[in-house]
Amino acid sequence: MKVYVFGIGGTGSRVLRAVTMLLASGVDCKADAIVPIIIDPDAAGGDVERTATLMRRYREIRSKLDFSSKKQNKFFRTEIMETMPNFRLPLDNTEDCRFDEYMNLSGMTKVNKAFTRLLFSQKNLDSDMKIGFKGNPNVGSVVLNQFEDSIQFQNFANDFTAQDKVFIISSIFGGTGASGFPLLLKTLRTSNNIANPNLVNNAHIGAITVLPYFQVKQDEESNIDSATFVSKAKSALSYYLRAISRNNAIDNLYYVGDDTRTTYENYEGGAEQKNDAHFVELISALALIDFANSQNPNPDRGNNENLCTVHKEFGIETDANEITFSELGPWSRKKLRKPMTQFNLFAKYLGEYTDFKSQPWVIDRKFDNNFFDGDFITSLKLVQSEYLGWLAEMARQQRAFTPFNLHCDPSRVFDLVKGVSPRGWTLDKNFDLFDNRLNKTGGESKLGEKEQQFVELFYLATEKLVKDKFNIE
Amino acid sequence: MSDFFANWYELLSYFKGFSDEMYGNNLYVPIGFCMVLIPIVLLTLYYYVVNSRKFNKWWHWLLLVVIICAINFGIAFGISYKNIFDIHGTAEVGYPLVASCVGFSFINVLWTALISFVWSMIIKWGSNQCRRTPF
Repeated sequence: MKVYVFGIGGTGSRVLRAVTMLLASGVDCKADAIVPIIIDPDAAGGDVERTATLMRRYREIRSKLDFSSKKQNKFFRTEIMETMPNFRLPLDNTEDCRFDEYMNLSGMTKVNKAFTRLLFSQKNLDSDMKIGFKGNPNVGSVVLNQFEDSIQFQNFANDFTAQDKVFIISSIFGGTGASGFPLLLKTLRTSNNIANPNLVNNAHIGAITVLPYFQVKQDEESNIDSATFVSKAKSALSYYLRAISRNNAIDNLYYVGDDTRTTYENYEGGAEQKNDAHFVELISALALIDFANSQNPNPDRGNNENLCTVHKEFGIETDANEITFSELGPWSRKKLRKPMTQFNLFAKYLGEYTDFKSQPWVIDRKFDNNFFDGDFITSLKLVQSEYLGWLAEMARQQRAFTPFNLHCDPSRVFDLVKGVSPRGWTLDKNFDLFDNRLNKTGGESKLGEKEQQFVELFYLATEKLVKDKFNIE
Repeated sequence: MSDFFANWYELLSYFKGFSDEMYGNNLYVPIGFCMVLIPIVLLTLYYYVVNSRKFNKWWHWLLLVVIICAINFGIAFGISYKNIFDIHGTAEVGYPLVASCVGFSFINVLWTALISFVWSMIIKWGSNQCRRTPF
């Protein structure tokens, strides 16, 4: 089963980044593959580029791994498919084009012109669409009303099977996401001009609507004003209630937001719009995992029988500004704690430790300098470094997600999970203990290609370590 | 048993007078047992009980073998010198006693080193942490 994930706007890309991190760390996802499709006119946007690069590296690493039934490794288990270049659904006529040119305002009749000016301000009409809709959903709702015309969207519909699902990620307080989500949903539910219309129209569709969770600095020159975020969210919610929830157009709808908000620099778009990762994005990624694992509440949608929408919100156990695993509810804690801790240990080992090349686990498997200096380990280290950076970004937020002690102290390797004291006395400590577990690990970690052996070995060793040191199973 | 160990020791060097006294007084046997058992016991402990990543570099193994050799040198010298001295009541025994004891102790060290190496090669494969030690 594949889950097609439409990430709309900057928030969509940032949540896809979190999804990639969770899948890299091995969070259980019932989907065989995730197919990210980024919808963002801001092609040069920092968030889009960073996420696309990360997903490409994920694919490079995963292509070297084997996930046959005997293998236990869960790192990079779920496939991320690239069905369109750079994971982006191209939007026509948005490059080097102002909104009034896009609508051909000069070619309109006098009456239409007047009506258009009633709906759009001069600032809207003058806006350059190359960097998105700058918080204007009224602009987005016009420009994005073109999904079914694109070849890539037709290809998506053509590849869609009865088991596949669709998940849509968007924010409600901006421009691109707020306008793109209802348009995309409408296209998916009603379009007849695509391949497999029955399958697509009646597909299991879920979405996460991200409510305001950050704000931007006040800037008179900018079109983006965070003072409008809440009012925009309210009016969009009211629209979603009428157009989506009440007629059960969607099967699963998730909401997440936060009233403790970090203030970011005010960039309208482009390469500079590269916000730090946020806990809300991680939770949005977790909503996708929950959706992928869920049953369709409307299996007979085609017959219009007993339709309902499952709504879910996210909450933490205690209202803390520093969130660790203890502040998460039992389900979220179980989903995240083990894989994230394992992958963190893996990243720490490869990133901070070098004195391992004479160890039995290296010599037994003939891991030589060519292997350690090769493309696979380079890509793996880059993804892991990005993972640690992603954790550090979340730890810097006003509402920080900081479950780990992100230090590089080789004498405190297992002083890692906040609120959990490492258990048990052993003669080997820190990275020596890590090597000890790697040396002890055999079985499937000695079979297959070197890359496969390497990742399987680290999965099994870190699984044993998190159980022994932190009692996490 | 005395013949068995005498063959080992005297294969490498025969010390006139001293070797005869060692054989005649059954002194080769306790020294020979120590020569065999001490490396076997200590190396087995190293590979299977300590079995630690912290001590699995080649120089850790070498240090242990040097210590085992030093112990066996001390045992060989101590037993041979004390017993021959006690038999004669003096160090004047008609041949250079100290030099003979030192020479014999070095031969004991050579055999100890050889046994240590061979035993290590036999048992290292079953050790989790030291199966690649010394190489």
